[in-house]
Amino acid sequence: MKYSHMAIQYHDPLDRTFHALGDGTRRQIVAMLAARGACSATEIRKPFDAAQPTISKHLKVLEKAGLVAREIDGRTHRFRLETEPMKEATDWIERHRVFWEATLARLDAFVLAQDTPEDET
Amino acid sequence: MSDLLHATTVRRLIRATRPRVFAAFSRAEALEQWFSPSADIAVTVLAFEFAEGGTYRFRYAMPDGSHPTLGGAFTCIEEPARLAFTWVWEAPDPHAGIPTLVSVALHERGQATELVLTHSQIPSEEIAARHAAGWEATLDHLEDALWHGALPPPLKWHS
Repeated sequence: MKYSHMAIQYHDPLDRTFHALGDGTRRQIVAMLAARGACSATEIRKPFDAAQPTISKHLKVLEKAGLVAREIDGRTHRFRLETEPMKEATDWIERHRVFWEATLARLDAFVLAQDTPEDET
Repeated sequence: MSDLLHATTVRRLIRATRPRVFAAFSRAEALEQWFSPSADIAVTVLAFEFAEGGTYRFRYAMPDGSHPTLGGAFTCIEEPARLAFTWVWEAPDPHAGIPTLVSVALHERGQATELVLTHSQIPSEEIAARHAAGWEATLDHLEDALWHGALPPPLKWHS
């Protein structure tokens, strides 16, 4: 339909966000960074029973999605959470939830006001 | 697939029978009387073809003078039990161009009707394939931690 061009343009960032969060290990990394702030790659790897390349790959996916930012200090790479991509997703959810709660309240009032006595029987 | 990804579901008991509730969705004149989140936000139906594949377009008049506009197409109409339609905001809305789907299911509850509305993004195959339940909880957790100032409780990692 006619919106498809715009759709491609806007949908991509959210696609990447959901793809990145569609994996248990990556969600745990995100939760860890949320709880502890910036962590080095070594610190991030510690709780996981996974090889270094695996965790590095997960970090790259998160980085590409804009969920995680990398800071390089000499030989140490530190990772911290970027909240903006997730904020976009949660803003969407919140906006539409509020919209529908309020709109459906008006639907209820509308159908109630339409009621005529013969419908009550 | 509409239940995948983040979706928002709103349930509400509507004090009218199912055919009456359904009729409120199926006529442009009816929609103009209720289909907005507030009485001071008027909605104008610019296009409305209530049939599967038929399109619609609504424009809101906000108190601040802006006119958010959206449109889509009906993908499912099963009177009086359910309907579904795509939903796309138009520019300059912040969510412009994001293809989404609204599904409405109506359940009989005596003389009332339970309405279950789910609004979700239309997922790509890849996202759907990789989706794992539970990340919504992670987001809630993060939201609390990051935007409301509270630190989350200590996290447990799998052993």
